[in-house]
Amino acid sequence: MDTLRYSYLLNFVQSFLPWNWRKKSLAGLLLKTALFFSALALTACGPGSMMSNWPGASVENGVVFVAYQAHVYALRAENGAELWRFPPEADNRIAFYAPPALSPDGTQLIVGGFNHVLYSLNPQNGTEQWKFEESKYPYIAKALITEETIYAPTNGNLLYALDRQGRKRWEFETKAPTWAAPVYDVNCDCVYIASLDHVIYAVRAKDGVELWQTKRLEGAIASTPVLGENGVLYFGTFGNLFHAFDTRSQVDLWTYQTSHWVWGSPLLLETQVILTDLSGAIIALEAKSGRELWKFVTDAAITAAPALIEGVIYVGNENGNLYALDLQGTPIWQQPKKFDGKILSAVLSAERTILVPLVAEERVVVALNSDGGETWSFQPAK
Amino acid sequence: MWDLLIINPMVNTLLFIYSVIGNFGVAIIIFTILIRLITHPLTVSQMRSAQAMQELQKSKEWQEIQKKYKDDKQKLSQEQMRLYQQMGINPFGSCLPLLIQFPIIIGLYQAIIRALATTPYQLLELSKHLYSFINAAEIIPIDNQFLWMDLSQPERLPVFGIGIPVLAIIVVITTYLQQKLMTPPPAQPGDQTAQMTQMMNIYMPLFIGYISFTLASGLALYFITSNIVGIIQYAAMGKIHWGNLLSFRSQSTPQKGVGKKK
Repeated sequence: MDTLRYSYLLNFVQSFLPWNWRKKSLAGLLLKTALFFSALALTACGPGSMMSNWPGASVENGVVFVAYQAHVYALRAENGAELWRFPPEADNRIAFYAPPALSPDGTQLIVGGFNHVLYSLNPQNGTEQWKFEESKYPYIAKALITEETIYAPTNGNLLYALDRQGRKRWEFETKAPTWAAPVYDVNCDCVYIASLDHVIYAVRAKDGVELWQTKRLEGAIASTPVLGENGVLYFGTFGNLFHAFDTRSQVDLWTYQTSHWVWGSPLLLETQVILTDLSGAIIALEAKSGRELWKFVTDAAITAAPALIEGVIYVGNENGNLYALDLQGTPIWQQPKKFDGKILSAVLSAERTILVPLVAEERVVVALNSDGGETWSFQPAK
Repeated sequence: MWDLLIINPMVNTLLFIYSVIGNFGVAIIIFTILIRLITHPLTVSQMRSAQAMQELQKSKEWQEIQKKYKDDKQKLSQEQMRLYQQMGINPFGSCLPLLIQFPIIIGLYQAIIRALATTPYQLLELSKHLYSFINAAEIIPIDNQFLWMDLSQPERLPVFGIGIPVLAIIVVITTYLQQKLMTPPPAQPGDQTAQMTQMMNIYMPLFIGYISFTLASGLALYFITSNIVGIIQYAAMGKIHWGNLLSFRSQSTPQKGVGKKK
């Protein structure tokens, strides 16, 4: 129960009353009980609050940046020590879930909040450098940062392009929220925006002019496409289809039918593309033809992208099981490693450490060595 | 169990209506009307029980035992129970239909929020509860825009730069009207029940208004539709107490000739 909200509600009701209804009386007691249970049922017993989401994490230069609930945390990858948190004190109006993005020159950490604000933080100490407050919607997607521009999609229907000082350069409108980070293509100096509106847009980087868009696809695209060197975009949709889309001719080279929604980004290797879906399947396809090479089915939905760390593919699922497979799809561990929470974000790596973001009661990140042994875990201090 | 019996059928029905209509605001309105029609027998039963109770409390015998045992609460309640049994009235008869409707209202709210699924986590949860006849790939994401509103957010209509909570205001007005029009005049003006009724007539609209002010506007749309349909239901049964609208003191002074009874 959101005690703050309930308390505010009680004060609100009291402000209209000519007597103190909190004193013992049957009428006050009945009204208070009715208010409590109604507030409880309407605000807390739902399918999770509006804030519910999973951690957004990224690793740069030996530092793990994690956005989860009230803070963005910077952790030392080698031992999990907290370097800083933003904001220093929790503010219940602010929550973070979008993965933080570090600028190419390492001077800015860009992260969007559920409070509709995009922050530029100093990656060294977490101090705020500037903030962009024009959005009417929360940020869920990771921002894309190039040398000159920050591209920040929102959970509304706008993507903002800002200069590195946080001034708006242009905005681009989609027909639905965007949860995927934009992808920059140097060949066309454009960005690809995969939106929940079932469309991928190619937008000129300098001014936001639309170059082309795909036809309306069979389902929403929730994750960031991967761009191959040959100009092919690999992505999956909620329409149970995985695409290899040629951005030059704007046609599908091939598609692959999955048995459930494709949520996570694919992992593109030299000749293979590895994808996952909500049925719990990990599938390897030949990147050139889309031919299925192997398939490994886990015991729960997978929303995260597979990660390749030292020749091993790591994927976590909703049951909190982490799987390690070789490039032929053979499990390396006899049993998956079980965690006390859900693994809904992609596994990351920092040098030889495997980092597992969790949706759990306490631990937010767990670090493993290559044998699957825990080396440290991060539980935010209250 | 709650999900299986209440939430999942509601979410899928709501999404099915949306897939046909293509507008989530209209889908909420149609769905609310549907729910009110399904629970209509409960509404009728509640109203009849309330009416029987009302008539009992006006009876001479009831008045007499109130006077006779005014200093002996235990004996009074025994006598009241005896009268209930004698008249074949269940004292909780008017509460029970309300209690049954309460989970439906809560379920409907949760169904609206769950169907809107505005965050990845909520959408992942939704994906597990969809029936096979719902073409989820086609309809997701739900278009949560309705008129000037984002149904997943608290509603404000910008007027000269100020956000006016129009829906919350309409919710307060319609809830107040519904309560005033549907509440029969008290049998015992000035007693604790009458005071409670009077208090609830004022504070419930404010409470529901506060909920509408702070939570997703899809819920406010539900409250408004539900209130209007409720008034129409009572009007169709000839049980509207128009006289209550004319007097704020109607709960504390005896009424004559108010209320149209069949």
